[in-house]
Amino acid sequence: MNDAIASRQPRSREEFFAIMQADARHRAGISVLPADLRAAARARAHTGLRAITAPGFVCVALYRLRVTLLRWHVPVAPWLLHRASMALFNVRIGELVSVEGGLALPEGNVVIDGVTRIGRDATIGPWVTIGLRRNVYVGPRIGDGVTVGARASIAGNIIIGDGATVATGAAVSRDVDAGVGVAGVPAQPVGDGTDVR
Amino acid sequence: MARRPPVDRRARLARARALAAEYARLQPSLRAALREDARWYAANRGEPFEFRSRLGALANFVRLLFVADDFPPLVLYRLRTALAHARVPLAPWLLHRLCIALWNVRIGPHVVLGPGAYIPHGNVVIEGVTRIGPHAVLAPWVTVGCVRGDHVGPRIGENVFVSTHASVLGDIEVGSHSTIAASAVVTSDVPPHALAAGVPARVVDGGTRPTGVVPGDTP
Repeated sequence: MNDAIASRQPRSREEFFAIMQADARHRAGISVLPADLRAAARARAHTGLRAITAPGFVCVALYRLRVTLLRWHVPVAPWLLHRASMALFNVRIGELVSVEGGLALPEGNVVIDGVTRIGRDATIGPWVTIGLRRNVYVGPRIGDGVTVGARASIAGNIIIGDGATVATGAAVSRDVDAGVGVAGVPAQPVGDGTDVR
Repeated sequence: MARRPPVDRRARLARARALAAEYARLQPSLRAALREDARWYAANRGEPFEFRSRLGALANFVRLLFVADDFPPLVLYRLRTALAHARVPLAPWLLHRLCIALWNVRIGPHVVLGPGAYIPHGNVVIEGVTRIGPHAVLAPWVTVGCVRGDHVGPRIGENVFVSTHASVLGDIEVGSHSTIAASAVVTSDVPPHALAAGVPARVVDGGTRPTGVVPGDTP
C-alpha cells in the first residue's frame, strides 16, 4: 500500500505530508546498526569490530541515531547530528529518506533527499546524488543490494530493482530492472552488473 | 598532433581584469540579495514565500537558516561579498574558509551571483570572472568556472537550473530559463529556454522549456 502511495506524485502539500507520514514507519533507526557495521566492514575489508572507527560507519551511525531521536521527538539533537554529519563527512540524508539496514557509505560525500526509499545492503560511493527532479517531491525507490558507483546520480520518481548496479558517473533518470548494471549519461543497461564498476 | 594556436595570455588577463572591474559594479546590494535569496529558497522548498509584513519576511529568513541545510553558506557568501566591497580585512577570508569547511561551497571573489540563488545541497564550485543571473538553482557537485589558461567564466542568464554533476566552463553565454542536465559538460553557448545535455553538452531541446517557478509568476 505504501508503494502505491509513493509511486505517484502528491497533488497537494497535504498529500505530500501524508506520504511522508506513511514512509516514516519504514525509517530504520539504531536497531539496524549491527547490519550497518557488517556492511561497513565488508565494504572496507575490515574484520571484527575494526570498522567501528571507520568514517564510513560513523556517518551512518550518526544518521541512524538521528532517525531514532526524530522518532522519539527529541528536539535540537537530530538537527545537530545532521549538521555534524554534513560538516564532518559531507553526508546529507534528508529527513524524508528511509534507508533499511546494511547501508555502507565507505567514502562519505553523499546527498540523498526527497521522499526516497533505499532497501537493504546498499553500497553508495562518494559524490553521489540520489534525489529529486525539479519541482517533484518524490525521489527514487531503490531495491535491496544495490551498488551505486562514485559520481553517479539517480533522480526523479523512478524504481531501481533489487541487485542493480549503477556504474561510476552514470546519470540515471529511468527505471532500472532487477540485477541489471547501468552506465553512461543518460544511463543505459550494460549486462548484469558484474563487469560494471 | 596538431599544435594549438598561440594564446595571448596578457590580453586574456587584461580582459579578465576589465570584466572583473565591470562585474564589481553589478554586485547586488546585501539587503536586496538576502531578501530575494530567502524568497527563492522558500519558493523552491514548496513553502510560502510572499509576506505582507517585514516581520514575516524576517521570520522566514531566520527559519531558513535553521531548516534549510544550505542557506547559511549563501548568507555567509553575501556577507563576505559586502565586507570585501567595504574593504574590511580578514573577515571575508574567514567567512570564505567557513563556507568551504562546513558546506563545501566555494564561490570565487570575482563571481557575481544574482539576487535569489538556490543551493539545495552545497558542494558547489563557482570560479573565475563569472556572472550568474537572478533565480539560479545550483545542484550539488556543480562546477561553474573557466577553462585552462583563461580567467573568464560563463555569463549565465536568469532562472537557470544547473543539475547535479554538471560543469559549465569557459567564456560562454548561457541563456535565461535554460536547463543544464545532470552530468553535462557545457563548453559552448546555450540559447534561452533550452535544455543542454551530454558530454560535451548539446542542445537537446531548444526553446520549448517551461519557465519554472519564479516568485511573483504564477506557476
